[in-house]
Amino acid sequence: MTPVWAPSGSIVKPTSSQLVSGVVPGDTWKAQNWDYILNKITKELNNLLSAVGISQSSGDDAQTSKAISLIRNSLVYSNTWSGTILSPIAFATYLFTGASTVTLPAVPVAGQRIIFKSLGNYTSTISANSGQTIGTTGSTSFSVYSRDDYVSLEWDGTSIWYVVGTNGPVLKANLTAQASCNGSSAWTAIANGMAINGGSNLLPGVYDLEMDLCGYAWYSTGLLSVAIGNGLNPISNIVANAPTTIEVMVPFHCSIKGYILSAAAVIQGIYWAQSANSFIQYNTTNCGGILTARRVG
Amino acid sequence: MLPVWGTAAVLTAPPAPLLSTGYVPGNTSAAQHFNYMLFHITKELNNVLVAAGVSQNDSIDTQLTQSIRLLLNSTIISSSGVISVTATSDTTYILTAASTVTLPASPAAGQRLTFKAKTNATSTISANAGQTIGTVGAASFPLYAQDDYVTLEYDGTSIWYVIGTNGPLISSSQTGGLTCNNSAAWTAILNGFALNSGSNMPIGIYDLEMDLLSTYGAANALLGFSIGVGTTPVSPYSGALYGSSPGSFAAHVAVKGYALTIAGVIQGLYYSNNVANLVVYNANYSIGRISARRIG
Repeated sequence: MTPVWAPSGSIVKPTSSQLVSGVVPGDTWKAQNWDYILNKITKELNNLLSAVGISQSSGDDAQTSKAISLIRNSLVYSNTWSGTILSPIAFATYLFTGASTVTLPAVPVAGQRIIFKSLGNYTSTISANSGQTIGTTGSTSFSVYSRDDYVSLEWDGTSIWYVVGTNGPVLKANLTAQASCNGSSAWTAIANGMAINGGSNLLPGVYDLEMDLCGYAWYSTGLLSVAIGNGLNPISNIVANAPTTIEVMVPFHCSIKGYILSAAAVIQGIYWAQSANSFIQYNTTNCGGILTARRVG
Repeated sequence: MLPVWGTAAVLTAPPAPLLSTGYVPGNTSAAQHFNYMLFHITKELNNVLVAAGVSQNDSIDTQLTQSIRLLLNSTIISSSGVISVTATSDTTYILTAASTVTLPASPAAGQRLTFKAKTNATSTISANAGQTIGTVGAASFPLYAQDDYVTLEYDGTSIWYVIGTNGPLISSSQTGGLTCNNSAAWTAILNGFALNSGSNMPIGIYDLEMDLLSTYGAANALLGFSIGVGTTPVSPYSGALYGSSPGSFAAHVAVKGYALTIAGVIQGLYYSNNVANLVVYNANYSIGRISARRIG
């Protein structure tokens, strides 16, 4: 059956006189009501179908396929994007086939969910529209970095896109060079190489932070502590190596899970050393270090 | 305009003669077809909308909005406090403050409910009588921090399956020093190194992880660490055995996907054969943390 499409103009409720005198010749006032309601229904269907990209000129099979997707809440788009995406009424999944920059719809529907998924190892950024945030930390964007990274966002109807699903995209930094400690007895950045995002600010969000590295402390005065820092402020557990009569090389592991970063900041490895004879990562061949930030909200 | 609602009686197609002779007096045959189709449409809409909580007394705009949300399958509600969920369609609850939520008593199979914390407040989602959350017998699922979330799907019998969560996290910090007791048995480090302030953790599946502070072992002494359920180690052990001289080391132990099938105390444990051993060498420069992430 050929689908019924509403007229392009707005639908106006018939007047009382039209209802009794007959807009459609031969019909009773009840039928007039039904005409109006039927037009209203087809108009709404028209809006729904047009919003999800169903064209009146497409074939019945294409329309049926789209309509089924609409009912299943599972529209899927696969492409590389740059710009503001449509505001689909149904749930939608965007598959990134290349690095993309996406701006969320300006006027989404309350409860609308959109999933973004990376099909390759490239960075794509999803940005909120004006007046919107992603999550409750004030973040205005969410990035995916690697293939199969994904995030599912749900609009609350006011100003927040809530993260309701993600694998937790990871940013990381490796330390491959030796860092000699300075004996400053104050928290100091290990090296630029042990800073997330190349030493630039990390955007607000909720993160799992974790750092592994190897350290070497001289004897007797060799207290050496390491931690993950927000700038130079320790935010993770602090692990210390304090040998007494021998020199010791130890692996360190620091972590803090579910860390709420409410203001953009440099996230980095930091150390505190009593002696300039302490080292972070003694041997570049046999010991490495890594700091990771997993975005979980 | 008042909405048109289907009649309560079962609708049947009028026989062919009625379509041509006038099912509704005064209507054309085309209108007769409309009559029949419209009654079917309104009857179906009536059933769906009533099931979704749309009242016949609502305005037509309210009904249309509710209908669109029904298509979206995604009603979203901001609420807090004591919440007894009655929603029959998929719904997201944004918890704006500490809340205690009870899941529906008679949910439909496949119904999905999402709970999302908007603030740093603890909220608990509890199963209704005869229901569990997940397969390990859990009766509740907590949210601890802002942006924590969990999505549950009902299996139609008795289980709300966790099908999405960020893994709400509970953690503790250790800032004090502890002299070991030479008991050569697994012993709790301190209450300060126990989750949930030393009270039982609820049943569920957890990623457990512990970072230990700098530690100090005496000469010829053995000092080991583990995560424990009570005083039973459940993680791999991390230990050190020093020779002729004392020394220090840092430790990290973890067990992922641990199924806690009986509520128990989750805490840090140590095993020491020398009273000169210390846990937490210096509170100013080294602290530790144990954490549990609820993943199912």
